[in-house]
Amino acid sequence: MGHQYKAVQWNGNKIAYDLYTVAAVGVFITVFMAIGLQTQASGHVADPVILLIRALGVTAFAMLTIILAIGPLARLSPRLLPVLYNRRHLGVTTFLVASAHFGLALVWYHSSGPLNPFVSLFISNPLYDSIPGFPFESLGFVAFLILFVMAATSHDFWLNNLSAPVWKALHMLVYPAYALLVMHIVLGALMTEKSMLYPVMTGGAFLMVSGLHLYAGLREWRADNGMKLFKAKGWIDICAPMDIPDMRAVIAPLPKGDRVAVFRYGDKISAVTNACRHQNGPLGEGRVIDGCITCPWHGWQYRPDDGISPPPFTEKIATYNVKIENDRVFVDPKPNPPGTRTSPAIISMEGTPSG
Amino acid sequence: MKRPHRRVHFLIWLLIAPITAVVGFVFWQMRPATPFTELPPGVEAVSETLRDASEAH
Repeated sequence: MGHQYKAVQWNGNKIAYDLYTVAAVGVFITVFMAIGLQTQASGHVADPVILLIRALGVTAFAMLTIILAIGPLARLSPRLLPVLYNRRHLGVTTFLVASAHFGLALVWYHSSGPLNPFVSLFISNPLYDSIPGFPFESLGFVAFLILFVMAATSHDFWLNNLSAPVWKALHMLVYPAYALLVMHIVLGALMTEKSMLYPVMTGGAFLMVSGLHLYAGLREWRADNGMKLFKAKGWIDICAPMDIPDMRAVIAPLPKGDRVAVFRYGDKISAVTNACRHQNGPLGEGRVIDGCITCPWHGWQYRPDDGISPPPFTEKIATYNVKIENDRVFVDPKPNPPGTRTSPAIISMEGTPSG
Repeated sequence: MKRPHRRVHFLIWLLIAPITAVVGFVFWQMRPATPFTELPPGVEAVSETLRDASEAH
């Protein structure tokens, strides 16, 4: 953790962001309802409650689409990294909108009969073997449960208790949840929708999100494979010292699948794991600020030589031994225990660019 | 600490994207009022009843 990081998430920036988000959600739902009532009035009487259920569903799906696009966009362009800062708040807001959609639909369609509404949700329509008549509500319910688990564990309390890898793996369930929501829409609203607007918007949103993820992933995969790992007596040849921009890092893949971030700060070079202790953020995409490696996601900081957060914080990350030979930076692929002090490699005059 | 490799994200999407896109499109093609429509059993029963009644007359 760094001295710029505030453990209490509520600050002026986040409050303003949340207010803007709530206002945008309100405006979107209002405009959706107004257009819906206007366009359907000529044909048949549009039920405002049903229109509101749909408006809430469309809003939640649109918000989730934006959330899922933020990750790959930030990987493709560092300028979008600040958007990641508030992504969790946007996620919780999405869950609240989805809750309103789910709750209203449950009350409106399943609470008037003798059955428990939750039981009615699954058995009132038994056509599980039909496509046009499939009870699409069940798909939405499973996706809603995933969003619930994610929202409930979104606080840093759970991140610390579950550990970052487990927490991250749990929150990757949002991908199947999004696919379930697409099928919820296809088998629900799109089965009776006459206009092409909904199919085009739903398909376009899904293709955009999946395309961004696949493109960003493919680009990184190629970058990893493009790094030729030359081993010399067990050490890995990374690059020339001056190939590393000052106060920044070069990220290199390691044989066991991890990544190392090799930082240059002035005439010194140190290497640490690329995974931040907070949320596994890519430390190598950050900068050295005030003498500390600063994670681009939430500003957690570590000293480059020992991987320990500056006082009063105590987080530690793994360091790697570094050396410079024949104007090349070499890293020992075996990580040191987190917090182990290493000697930075010093760039001699031979390593400076000529001219 | 080992982070889930970003390739995992890529592989998940490589699995989810084509399946969802193809299945979603095929199912959408089977919506009512398209040539691919598969009528729910309840609707087919009503349809047969109406057809029988029509033939009886």
